[in-house]
Amino acid sequence: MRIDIAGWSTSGLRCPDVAIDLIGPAPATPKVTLLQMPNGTGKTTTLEMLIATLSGAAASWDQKIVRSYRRKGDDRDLGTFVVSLLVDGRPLSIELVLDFEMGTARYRTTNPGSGGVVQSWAPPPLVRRFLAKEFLGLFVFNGEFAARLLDERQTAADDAIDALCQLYLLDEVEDFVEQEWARRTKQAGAKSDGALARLRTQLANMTTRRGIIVQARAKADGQVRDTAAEMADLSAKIEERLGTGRSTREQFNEAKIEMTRTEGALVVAAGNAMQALRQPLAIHPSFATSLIALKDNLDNLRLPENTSAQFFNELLEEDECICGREMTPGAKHEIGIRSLRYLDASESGVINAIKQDIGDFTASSETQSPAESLATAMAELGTARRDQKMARQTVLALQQKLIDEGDEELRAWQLQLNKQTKLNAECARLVAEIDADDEKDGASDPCSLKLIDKKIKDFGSKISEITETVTLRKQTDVVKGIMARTKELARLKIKAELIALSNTRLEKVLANDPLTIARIDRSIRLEGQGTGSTAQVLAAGYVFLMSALRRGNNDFPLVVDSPANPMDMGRRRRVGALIPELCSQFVAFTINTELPGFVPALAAATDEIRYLTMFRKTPGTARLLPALPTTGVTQNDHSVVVEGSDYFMSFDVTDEEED
Amino acid sequence: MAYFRLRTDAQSWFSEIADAPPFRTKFDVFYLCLLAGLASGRATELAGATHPATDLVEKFVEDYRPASRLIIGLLVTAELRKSGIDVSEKAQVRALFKRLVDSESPNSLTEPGMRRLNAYASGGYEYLAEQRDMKPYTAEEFIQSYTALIGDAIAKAALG
Repeated sequence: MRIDIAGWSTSGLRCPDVAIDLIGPAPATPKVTLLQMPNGTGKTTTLEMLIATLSGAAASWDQKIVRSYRRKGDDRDLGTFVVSLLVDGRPLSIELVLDFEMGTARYRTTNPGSGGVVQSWAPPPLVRRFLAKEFLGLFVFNGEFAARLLDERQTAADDAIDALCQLYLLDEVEDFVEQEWARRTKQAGAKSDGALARLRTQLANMTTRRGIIVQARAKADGQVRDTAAEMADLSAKIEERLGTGRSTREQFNEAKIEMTRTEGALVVAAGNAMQALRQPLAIHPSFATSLIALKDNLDNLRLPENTSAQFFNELLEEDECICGREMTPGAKHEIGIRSLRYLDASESGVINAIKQDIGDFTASSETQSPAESLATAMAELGTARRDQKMARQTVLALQQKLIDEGDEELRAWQLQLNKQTKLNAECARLVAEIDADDEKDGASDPCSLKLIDKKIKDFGSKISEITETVTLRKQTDVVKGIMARTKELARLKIKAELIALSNTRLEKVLANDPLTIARIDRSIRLEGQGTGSTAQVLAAGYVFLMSALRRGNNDFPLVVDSPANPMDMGRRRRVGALIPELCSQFVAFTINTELPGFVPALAAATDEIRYLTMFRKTPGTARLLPALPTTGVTQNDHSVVVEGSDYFMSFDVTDEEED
Repeated sequence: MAYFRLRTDAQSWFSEIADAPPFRTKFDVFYLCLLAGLASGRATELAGATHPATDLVEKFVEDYRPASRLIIGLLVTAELRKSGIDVSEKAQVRALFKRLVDSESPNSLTEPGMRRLNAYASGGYEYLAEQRDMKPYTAEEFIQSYTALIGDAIAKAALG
């Protein structure tokens, strides 16, 4: 499916009344539309209204939100925003009407191909799934969103993948089968109404509990990330402050170096001690004593014997015994039974190998014995631990001394760091508790998700037994299991594909300062560095997002506010050259300071580019009206839109009054 | 297929230290528990849902391959002790070996042999958890205290 935005019109809202036509005289939407709007012309409002209109989200707005879109001093009761789409070339328009008097929002959908006009938000089912708010956020956004994809504190990249691949549909399937099972159990004749009612209550309570725990985990996980980031910031600030200045600080810096050295030494010493522990004979002399005794006993018992079980098994095939007597069925039976007591050749081989190793490892040698090696390693470990503890105490003492010397801001940072460290540990502990798989069953309000899931399953099974829907329960669980596994596998596969695709493109875009995506773990994680420069991050975010949007068989427009603002000239050129190749329709709200580098690169990469310049009619912009070109101008009482590259490139207004 | 298995509560108990150097694999945790079990003579079977456990590996990992036969030897001595077999009773000693070792298996143990080894690791974890006030938070501290814990276990087992 291909979705294009053909244009939008607005009246009575905070942004100026205007009709933006993205097609113009051309037969189809151009690949690129640049809409120059000075600051204060309503870029943010336009983006918000685009998302609200397309997603149907305004239906749940309260009066306060609805009225917040009313323009100050405007006495019109209604505000409208109409978006015209082309879905595979066929028109579809959605109108959002905000009633400022009533504080309500209503929709109207016009679909000439089927259904005509409907007085509600009613896009065709095939389009509807692409107009979910989460999904729209991927192709209608401001420049900051691309950076959020790389912010460790955010989960934007994961959310983007979930929305792009609509993995939430798998959750919906899970919910559906569960609801269907619940419906069927309600229909079944109960054998014990009281027990069934109790179980249903327990199941409902545990399901509610699960929701609470999942939310708590998400919150705690978010706090772990936030506090970790703040701790890193604070530690860096504290270190920077401590690292500048006079003698105490010099001592402090030396102490920090010493602490780093002792930490390294401790890691090495612990590694050596663990390596020595991997030889069991090193741990305690009694292990060697008991193994030597085992070997001696086996030697005394002549185990393994020279005669193996195979000898007797072969004898059973003979007509006569080894002693010359006839091999009767009775004799054969007895020999067969007794042969089982003997070790076969391979078992003998294992015992001989054990004896051999005992002999080899316990024999005295000129090198250190395992026990001596361990003792040496343990002594070194003890020394390393002491040194590290001492170095750490020195650092803390000097840090306290610096704080005591009157650095109030430093003291505040230190307090905040302590607070955040504590909070981080608490949240991490909570996440661990929720993820634990060894919580004892018994508490009425369990914390472990695994235990909660187990209990939910148990209640479900019992309800199934009573209501005789056991098979359906099993089928429900199978479907849910398949959905969960599918989601997990899909995420892994999609992430791997997107990383490979994005990295190939990043090589082009960031040719002079390469950047590689290492993995996607909630956010995009870069190879070998915490984060890049703002411009690098933005470029990486765009490349990832556009790769993601192009991944399926669907084409979506990309509508971006301030796409190139933080980038330097080189990156603007490279990102600009890449955009036409990565998406079917690119609509950018720009200001004049963004044009150099970015616009020429875009223009060089595609012939299909349309330039629009829009400004609000105010006393401040009255000076622009006499100089308007003779063609390509559309204006009303509130705004002016000018089409054409010459006017676009020469327009020099950056700021108007605030939106 | 007989796997080395480690109780999930043991994994939780070691969770603060098990995923970073000097620990290289989960087998390190298994081994430390196992030696504690063999030293104390304590074995707790992993049957049923009482002690949930996860499969680790089928073979001795690289770090422990040189000592693998010594570990099997220690299992045999522990089992001889536990079952009260007189070491001069050739038939019983032979039968014990037949029950525990299997040259065809990738770890040289029979299914029952592996079950017993896992039981000692399980019992060893219980012993370690009982002897310490809290779970280990630094590998260095735990390693330093480990040999003393094993020494105590052997001393108590000798008295018992």
